[in-house]
Amino acid sequence: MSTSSPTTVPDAELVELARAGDALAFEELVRRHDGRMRGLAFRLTADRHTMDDVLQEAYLKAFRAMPKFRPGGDFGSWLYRITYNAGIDELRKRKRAPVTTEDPVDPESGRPGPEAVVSASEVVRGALAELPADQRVTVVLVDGEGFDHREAAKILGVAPGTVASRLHRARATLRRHLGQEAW
Amino acid sequence: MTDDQIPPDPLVEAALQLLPIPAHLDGFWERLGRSLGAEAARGDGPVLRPASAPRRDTTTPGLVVVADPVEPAALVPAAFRRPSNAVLATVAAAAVVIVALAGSSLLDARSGTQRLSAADVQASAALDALVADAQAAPGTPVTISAGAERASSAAVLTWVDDLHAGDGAAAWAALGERSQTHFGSMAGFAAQMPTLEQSTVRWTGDRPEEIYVTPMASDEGDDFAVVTVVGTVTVDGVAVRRAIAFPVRLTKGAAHLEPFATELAVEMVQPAADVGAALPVVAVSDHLVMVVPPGAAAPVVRLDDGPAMVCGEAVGTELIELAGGVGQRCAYQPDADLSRGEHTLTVAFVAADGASVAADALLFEAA
Repeated sequence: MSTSSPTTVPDAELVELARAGDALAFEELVRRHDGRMRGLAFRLTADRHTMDDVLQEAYLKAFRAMPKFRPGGDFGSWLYRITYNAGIDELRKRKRAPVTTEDPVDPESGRPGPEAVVSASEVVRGALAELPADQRVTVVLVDGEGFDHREAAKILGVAPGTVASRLHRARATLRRHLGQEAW
Repeated sequence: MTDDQIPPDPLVEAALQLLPIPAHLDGFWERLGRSLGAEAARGDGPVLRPASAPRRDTTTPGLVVVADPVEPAALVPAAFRRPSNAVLATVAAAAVVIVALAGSSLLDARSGTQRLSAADVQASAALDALVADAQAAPGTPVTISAGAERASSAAVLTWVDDLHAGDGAAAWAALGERSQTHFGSMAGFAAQMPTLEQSTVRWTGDRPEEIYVTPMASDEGDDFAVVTVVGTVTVDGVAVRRAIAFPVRLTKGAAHLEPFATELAVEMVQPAADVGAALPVVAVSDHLVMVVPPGAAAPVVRLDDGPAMVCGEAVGTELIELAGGVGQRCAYQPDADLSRGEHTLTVAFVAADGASVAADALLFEAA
């Protein structure tokens, strides 16, 4: 790898290094995109341990597949899709999208901890739990992460119309649940 | 509105921003570094220079090929749009419509593959009784007239054609009352038409290749049919196989589409829906697994043009409540291994209110 600081190296150069097998370059690339990947993995799994497991799997798969990554391609979108697939694989293993809340009980006192207080974020998480995984990830990509629906379609490997349809249904369900909770 | 202009939803966007994104647990990056180093040590990956001291990981498989991103599909080219509904109506009338009769199909299948002995006759009688009981249960597949079958399939094909022709008034009129309520008004429906047009498809050669009509019954009084349409569509010049299920309400001989009567949905688990662009693959000996919402009545499973089976009642099916009341898991194990190749799975259920049907269909490959 070059001697310049990784943080000053453009993505494209890091991609080339990673394609050639530079693990440090790959790790730097992943760190740059890790925030988005955590967002996706956490919203899919709603559990920090599982989120980390999914990302370990996704990053390792991506590293193995780097030689197949096309130069000039969008690494972030590519990594996003691999993360999405790893998340879906995890959901499939569990046979059901298992969005759960973090343990709200204080382990020392045995009484409800601060997390037990119903917060807006918990309401949102509960609403997401009602969505099938394909709708959930679609609304996370478009309304949570800011991808337009064509970009989301590319990540998910489906037609833009399919993304639009899922988005429509997901938004309707979320609005209904959020409205019921009156947050 | 074009397909580039899906308006934002400020409420949903704001809600999602409230979700905290947790940091990694301690040791995440060290763990990743070790994994990458181990990958380097294997020598069958791309790694030439490991990030940290290599540690052999005997559990790591060899090179895993991850599919390149699939180019986004787009609207079916306008060349495939037809100006008239007449051809579609003719196609619909001529299409092969296969109605599954749970009882007779089961019996036919059995007697067609076995030499009947006295014991078999006795068993057949028991099966007959089982089928009779099943047919008496609410929500069990029922028969509908040939005219209703044709009306159902024609309604679906015409509706898709109307969408693509931009005939909002006709497409609106073809919807059932509950689906119209979903949109609120014809203006509301018209605003969604571009999205709907994209989510429906145009068949290569102007016709779907297969149409299966699966009758359903509800407690409300109206009958329902689920029309599963299987065909090849051309998206940006690429042929893609698709299966779509449309619930249709049958009232006094008239068929109205009800794809938006309920927001409840089937979740395909195995095969899993839409993991990627390619057809999902299951092993020939695999169970087929799907999840329906709590309270969903009489979920019906149908493989290809085979019999429609009520999950939990038909031979080879199992329906169990998932822990926590989050849904019902339906599993179907065919008598024999699936034949290799493409199959169509249709799943439908009557919503808890007894007044609407949700359905989904999925093409998959058995290998």
